[in-house]
Amino acid sequence: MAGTIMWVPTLDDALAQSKNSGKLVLLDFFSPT
Amino acid sequence: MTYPQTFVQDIINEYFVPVQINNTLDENKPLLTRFRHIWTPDLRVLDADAYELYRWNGYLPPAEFAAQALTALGQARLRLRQFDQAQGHFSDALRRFSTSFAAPEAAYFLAVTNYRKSGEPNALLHGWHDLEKTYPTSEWTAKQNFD
Repeated sequence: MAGTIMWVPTLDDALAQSKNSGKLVLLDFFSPT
Repeated sequence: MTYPQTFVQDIINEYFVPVQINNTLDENKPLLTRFRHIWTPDLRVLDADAYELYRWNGYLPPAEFAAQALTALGQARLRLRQFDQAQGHFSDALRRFSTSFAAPEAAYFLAVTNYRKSGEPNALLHGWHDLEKTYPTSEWTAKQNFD
């Protein structure tokens, strides 16, 4: 979807999607401002 | 950290499975400990087993972030010995963001990738020669000087 980053809800979900898609995980630790 | 620029969003969506972790929530403390998180922005590139292949800290403006993300992808694919993908990401970083902070790193490791893929020493030496000509004051130029 244009204009939106497709964030996944948890690291475990991201790792599972990575395993299936071959994409790498981008883990972004942030502090809300 | 937010990513309002489309060209940054496109890189993230095309090449990554992205996940954000709020470091102020108690529920995330185990992850902060597991990854030895200390300061934001804190970005990690992981494989599917959560092995950390690359990381960087600190805010970058959008074009610098995009160049850093492409360079990180190249580094990660290189460490996985996926040389064709690494070449593509480093080349993309250099073509699109040649004046970025990350560009000399991309040039350095593009030469390394070409050498690892071909086994041809000239692939390394030519790439590093170009690095020295294009980015003479870069730390990566200093790092390729083994005289």
